[in-house]
Amino acid sequence: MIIEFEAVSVKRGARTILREFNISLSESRIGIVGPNGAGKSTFARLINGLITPTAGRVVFNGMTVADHLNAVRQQVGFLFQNPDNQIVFPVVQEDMAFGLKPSLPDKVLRAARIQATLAQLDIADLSERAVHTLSGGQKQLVALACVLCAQPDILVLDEPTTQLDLRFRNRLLQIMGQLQQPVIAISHDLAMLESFDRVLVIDQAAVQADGPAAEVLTWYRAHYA
Amino acid sequence: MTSLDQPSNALPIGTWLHRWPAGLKLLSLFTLGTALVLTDRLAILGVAAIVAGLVCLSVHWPPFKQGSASSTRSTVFLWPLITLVAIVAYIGFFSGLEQALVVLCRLLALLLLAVSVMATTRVTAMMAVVEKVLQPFDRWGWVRADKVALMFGISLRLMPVLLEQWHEIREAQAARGHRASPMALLVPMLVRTLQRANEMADAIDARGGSSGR
Repeated sequence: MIIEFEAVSVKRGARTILREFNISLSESRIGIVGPNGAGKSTFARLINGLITPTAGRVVFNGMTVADHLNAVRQQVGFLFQNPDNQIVFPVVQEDMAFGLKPSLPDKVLRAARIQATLAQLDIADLSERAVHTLSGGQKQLVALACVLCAQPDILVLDEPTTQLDLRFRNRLLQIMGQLQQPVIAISHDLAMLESFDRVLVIDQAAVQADGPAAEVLTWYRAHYA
Repeated sequence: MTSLDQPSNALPIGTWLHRWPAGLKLLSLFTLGTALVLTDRLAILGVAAIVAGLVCLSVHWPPFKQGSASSTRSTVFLWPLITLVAIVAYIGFFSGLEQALVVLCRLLALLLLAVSVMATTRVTAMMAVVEKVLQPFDRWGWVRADKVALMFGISLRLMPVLLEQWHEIREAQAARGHRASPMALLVPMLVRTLQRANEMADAIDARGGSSGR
């Protein structure tokens, strides 16, 4: 997996959110940190084309994201901060089926994939549950299951632990540790990123620090605490 | 227990109405709804309301059972019921008791039948029916059947979410010592709903939901 940002800039009116990003991402676990409003979510949304750069281009595995939106989105699984906005159907398995339908039209295969994914996350008993009856942590696991059942090549997680209590946070970290796919995680949860291969600090529309997690997180704590 | 010790809360299954095909249920609802709108005879409407109530009870028995998904769905219809009472009181005041009873029986029958169908039919099954019904119009290029079906499914999902959002806003206003004025509730409700719609659209895009034509 290689994601390249080539002179990528994003502007909203007069405000520059990201300025001429030139960066290549290929590590298995990449963390993004930075203050609120620094452009971290914008950075993540550029990867699957939810936001189009004002200048420059994002290239995912050799494909320019803006030109291959559908192909890229099939390969990039995106977990949003608020699962309530990500889960669009009233019942868990209905929502999972929605994301799978285009790539897996066969009902039997689809149902098998859904059950296998729920079992992988140890939430098989939520399959028939109405989404509004789930706790926040359960909803986040269901949202992750929805992403994983599409078998993406990479996962982008936008502040996945923000709304979780300690138990669900630990559960999510445990699941993340078992995933084969590369993960790019935006987070304020620095402890979560300590085991990552690489961490970037984004602030003032630019990368302020980039390197191994231990070094960058120490620097980040010293400068932003 | 699994799933971090949360009790299982499956949708109820197995009543006689669950076994009806979604298309038949929606067709019956449409036909009965049309018939109820076309008649003004209180006796017929009264019988229809009683029958609708029995149908509703047969799929919701015991009614409003604590902790079941169907009970939470049922509470979603509390506000429509309150609205119904307000409408009937208004009509009763201006047009007389008989007219008020006609409206009450008609709306009650429609509401109870709709609740029964919704509580016993999977959203995906209803969406499939909507998509199938709209298919001819889709072929003529008048509507996108899949998009309309998706919109239908999302609107059902959003009902409890928006209700919860409404309560949150009301509590936040109360905590700040504000009285529940319509503007103080409606403005944040509108803003948050638009934000939610925006993020939901992003989520659907991210999952490939907008692919196709």
